[in-house]
Amino acid sequence: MERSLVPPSIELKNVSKSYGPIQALKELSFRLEPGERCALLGPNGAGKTTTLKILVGLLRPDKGEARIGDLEPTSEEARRMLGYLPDDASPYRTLSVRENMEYIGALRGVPDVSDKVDKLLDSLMLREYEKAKVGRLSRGNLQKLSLALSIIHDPTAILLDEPLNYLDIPTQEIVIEQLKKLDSTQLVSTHIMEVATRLTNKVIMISRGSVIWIGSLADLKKMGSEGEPIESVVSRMLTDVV
Amino acid sequence: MLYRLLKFVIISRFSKQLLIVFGVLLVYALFLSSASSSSSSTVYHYYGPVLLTVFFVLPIASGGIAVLKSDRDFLFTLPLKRSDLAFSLFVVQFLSFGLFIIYGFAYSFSYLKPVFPFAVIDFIGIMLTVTALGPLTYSLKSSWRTLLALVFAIWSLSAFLKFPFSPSSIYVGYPLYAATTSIVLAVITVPLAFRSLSRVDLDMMKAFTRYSSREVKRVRRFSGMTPLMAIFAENFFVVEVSGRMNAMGAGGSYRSGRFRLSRGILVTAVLAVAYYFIFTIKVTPKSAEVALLVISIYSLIFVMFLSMGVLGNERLWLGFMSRSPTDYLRDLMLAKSLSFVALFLPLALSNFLLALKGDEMAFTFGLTLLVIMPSLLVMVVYASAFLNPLQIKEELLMPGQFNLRQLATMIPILPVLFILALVFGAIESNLVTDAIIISVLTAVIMAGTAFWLITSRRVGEKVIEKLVAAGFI
Repeated sequence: MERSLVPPSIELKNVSKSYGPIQALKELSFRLEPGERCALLGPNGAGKTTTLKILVGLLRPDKGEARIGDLEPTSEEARRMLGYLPDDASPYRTLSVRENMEYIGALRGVPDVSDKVDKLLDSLMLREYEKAKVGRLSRGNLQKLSLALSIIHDPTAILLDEPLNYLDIPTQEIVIEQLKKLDSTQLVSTHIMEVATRLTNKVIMISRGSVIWIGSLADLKKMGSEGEPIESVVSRMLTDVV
Repeated sequence: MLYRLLKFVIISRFSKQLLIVFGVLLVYALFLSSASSSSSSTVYHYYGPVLLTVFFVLPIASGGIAVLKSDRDFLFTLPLKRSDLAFSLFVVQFLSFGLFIIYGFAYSFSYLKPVFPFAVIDFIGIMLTVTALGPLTYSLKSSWRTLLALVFAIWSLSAFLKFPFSPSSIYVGYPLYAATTSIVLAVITVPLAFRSLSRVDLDMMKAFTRYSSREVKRVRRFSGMTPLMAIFAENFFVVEVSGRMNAMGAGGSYRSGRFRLSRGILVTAVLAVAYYFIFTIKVTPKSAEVALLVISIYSLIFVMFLSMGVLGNERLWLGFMSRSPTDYLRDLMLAKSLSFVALFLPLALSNFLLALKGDEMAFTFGLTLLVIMPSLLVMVVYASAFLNPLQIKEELLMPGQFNLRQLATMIPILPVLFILALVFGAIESNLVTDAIIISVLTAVIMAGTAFWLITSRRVGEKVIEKLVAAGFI
């Protein structure tokens, strides 16, 4: 089945999720319009990872619904559109870099996998590690490989959890360029405001499983006093809620 | 300080509930070994050396050592007396490896009643040696570990050739020599193990460096394959043997090894031909007992090793995200279980041929290999997913605390052990038809259960939920 090349919207409607007695998400709702790039901010334990896992269909909400375009995240069509990079991502350790990319490319039904892998190896500067087992890679190269695996099928809805972790500055710039080039809707979970400002132009702030603020980065900056760093504004907002 | 360190090292590796169960099992095993009446059954004549071989080979092959990632990051950097650290880690090794020998061998003490004092000395020596082998071989190259495992296996099995200077020769009438050999072995290996454990941080780094410097010799290509073909290329044509390899099936460091299915089939085919000719020449009830013992013990261990990495090495965000997660799980399990079937097909076929030639009991062995064991693999994988899902993110380290749930994942083995015991009894009592009926019924029930587990979408969804909740990436 052909997949849509148009970026879809990403939406959560009144989603709640609990792990036993712990409520991770409480009536969480937000929507990203097609092509929008948005940062998901929140303190530790706010529910960011749970939110992403629900949006990629790895978790089902106890209540409410998640949508990728008009589709449920668990549907085959939505999966074709989705690209997901978890925090501390780890590819298949027993395969080499190239084997990982070709295997996932084949599973994703990518045409001309070999060519696509070659392009990604070069653009992410992984060529010299092509035959290396994943266990050999440094944390930074592991992150580059993980990123390559999450975008190998040219997804139109991308969910990234701390995508620039472990990357050196030149590689960060390459990755930022790569992500900006992709015609997609992107939700980036991060603790680092610099990452949010480089990759996105909108912010969803959550705390204790609920949205506490949604707006543009420009609006967020305006909330601070003159010369106040944006990190300080965010910290104040999150602390007020906590 | 030593007491506090020892307590910390034990508690951080074993849950309290598990330690209690260890204690109960230990008391039961000791009671069994001392209270059982003397037996002259020749089963133990085979049982002892075969099981001892397993216990020698396991810690060497795995180079297993009960060290956690947090030990590497924190414990080893503390200003502790190295001798205290070595002693604490040795005790932990003993709990992982040595204790199991007591459980395993307690059942043969009735056979050794006439030479009880020698048996006690022999087993103390064996326990200490087996405990020492993991730390001793931890940092060795795989080729050296394989060679050493082979030497110990041959040495242990040499009892069958009436070689007296083997730890297992107590089963063939050499109690004094066996006890002496075991104690000498312990005297040599234990101090070396202490030395190794006192510098475990340095040896670990050596092993890590060697492990992480590997490149694949030949890159496997998946280009042009459909998703199903890719899954089979990775999971059917390549066999992965992995796990926290020690006698308890868990608790030690995690390693994995892979080989091509074609190479594995070549080995099993050679074994199958040898097996067929040996049994064509001489089929006796005794040889049937040996065959059953060897097949059941080694294939059960193989099932454990195959099962541990099936989900532990998977990546939810990759394979499972590439299509419907339940479909991926189904195809993955199908590929893994069919790979197992293909691997053991030659041995199963030789058994079926023997059955056609008149050795009816061979039919049950064939069925065990072809149907019961692959079904067991599926059942153990699903039991692990529900009871104790654990993702492997780093090799050569113990992935987490060893708890009671890990033992519970072995529950699917119980009906198999029960059936094997029944078949064993049937052979001894000449109730061949009954044994065959029992085997066929077991095979049907287990295959049906495995098929249901693999194909049920509801079960698949539950498994994936469990994995996500357990923090699988």
